[in-house]
Amino acid sequence: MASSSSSLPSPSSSSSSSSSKKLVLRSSDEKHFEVDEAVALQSEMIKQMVEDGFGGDVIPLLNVSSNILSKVIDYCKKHVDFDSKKKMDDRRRWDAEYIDVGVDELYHLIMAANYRNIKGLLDLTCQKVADTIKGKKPKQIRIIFNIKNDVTPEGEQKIRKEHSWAFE
Amino acid sequence: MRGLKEADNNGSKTAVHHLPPEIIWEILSRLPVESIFRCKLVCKSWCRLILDPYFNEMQLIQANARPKHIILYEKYTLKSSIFLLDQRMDEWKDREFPVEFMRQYTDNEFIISGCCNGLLCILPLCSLETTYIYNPITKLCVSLPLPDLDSNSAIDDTLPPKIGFGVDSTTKKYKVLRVQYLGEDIIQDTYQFRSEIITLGESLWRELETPTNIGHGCWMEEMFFLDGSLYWISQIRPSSSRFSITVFDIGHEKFRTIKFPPSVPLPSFHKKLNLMEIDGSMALVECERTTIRLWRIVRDGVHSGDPEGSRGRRELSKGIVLPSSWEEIENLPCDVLETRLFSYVVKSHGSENTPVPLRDFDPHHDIEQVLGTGSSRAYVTSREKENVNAKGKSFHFG
Repeated sequence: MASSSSSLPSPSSSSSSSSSKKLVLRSSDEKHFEVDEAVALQSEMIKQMVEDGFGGDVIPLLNVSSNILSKVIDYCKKHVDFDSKKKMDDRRRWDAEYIDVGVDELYHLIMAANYRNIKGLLDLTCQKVADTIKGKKPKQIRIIFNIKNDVTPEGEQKIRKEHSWAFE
Repeated sequence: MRGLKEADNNGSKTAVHHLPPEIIWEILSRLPVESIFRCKLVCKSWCRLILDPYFNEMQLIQANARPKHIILYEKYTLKSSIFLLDQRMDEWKDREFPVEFMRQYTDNEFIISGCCNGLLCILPLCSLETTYIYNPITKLCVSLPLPDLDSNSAIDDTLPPKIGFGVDSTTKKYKVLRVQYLGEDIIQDTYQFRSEIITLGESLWRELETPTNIGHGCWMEEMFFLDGSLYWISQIRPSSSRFSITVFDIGHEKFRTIKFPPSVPLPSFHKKLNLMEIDGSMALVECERTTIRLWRIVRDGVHSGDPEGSRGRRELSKGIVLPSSWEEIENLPCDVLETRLFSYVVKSHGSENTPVPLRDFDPHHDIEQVLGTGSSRAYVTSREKENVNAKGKSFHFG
């Protein structure tokens, strides 16, 4: 209908939804992801780049691999939807399912959320780690997260004595 | 280095401690206090992060953002325990916390006269000049210096002092306010009070200039802390039955009064008046057998993050009349009303420590007890709070 008014050639986008502006993100392993601008702007880092006039066709994300990036994009897409609907229960359910991943993937998601500055995803991932730690003994925590015990027996004794109530 | 190597060899296990410290911090600050202490044993770097003074502040912010605990205790019983109720998933769980330091008193009854950031202000019934600040989670307890009672001979010791406890939102300092009723001045038609304040960490109580309209003779109302101020219901003068709300600004250490809205009836045996927090503001609640009416204190010019606005003028809004039907009360944006009602109900059902789900109780039967001055009191407190390290810092006396 309004196509006659457009003098610009249409971009060679494979996407059929042309209503909103698109951005292309490139993962560390050179894969390209085309996303709606609104989705990409969930990342404060990308938002800043766009505001600063970065108009380039491809935004490189040097330390995010394609499998993690696609997972992060899933999150951003879904949350753009949620933001417009405001269904807290749906959101919570979706988030819980989304974050049900292994320690390794969780680590990469945190790093991606932190690097790209996506507050919602950072909250979700950090809370997940906290929930995993909650109620566990120090030894169990070290095993789950593969942390080397460098606390000396004397140091341990001292902390246990100080906070005996926490170890009951 | 070994940790790193293992992580590399074992692909499925990435060492989470390779996360930047600010992320570890973020994670640890989301834990309940017990877990935080246990995490000190995980490794040295975690322990260092937890000991950082800024960690406290972050933990407090995180704790305030989470759902609140309810602290329950029974007045006038020999059971020197408090109960902490918290909601996990959809269930209410309770934990018993014996108040151990009370064992030094043969008669171990006590009053909780205030609650702020999870810290309780406790007075032994047999020794009301003694004040303790107690952290039920860490069991850390500090006893405040005794007030200088000799300097005023006119104290009417038939009435207990009123103690309020709160924190100055700007300086983050905890203070305890103590108001002692001195008597009535018949000629001036006023009540007389003496008030003192102490900042936690200081060794002396300071006497404050005290207006005459901040209470009344049979002064049963408790002080309620919210957002930098203490609130309580007070009678203006002996000859009149007009009431008002006294507000004490903890930061500025000044008293102010807010008049009751004209539509509020006089408190009576059948019409109980209470103060409580509704949706972040102080509200006056009138409770009759069939109705609950609320008057919320609205603040002028409040914008989030505007410190001036939050100190702005406060006044009472028009009353909202609520029918007693429970459904409609639930529709109110006032979780705290619910949790407070709920916690009263727990005890009024006499069911020991077994929480009764809110929906199971009959409002027609219980409401008066719920908001009345029964023998059990509930305090709504921020979750787990507690200043993990501040315990050594803010609560030691120099």
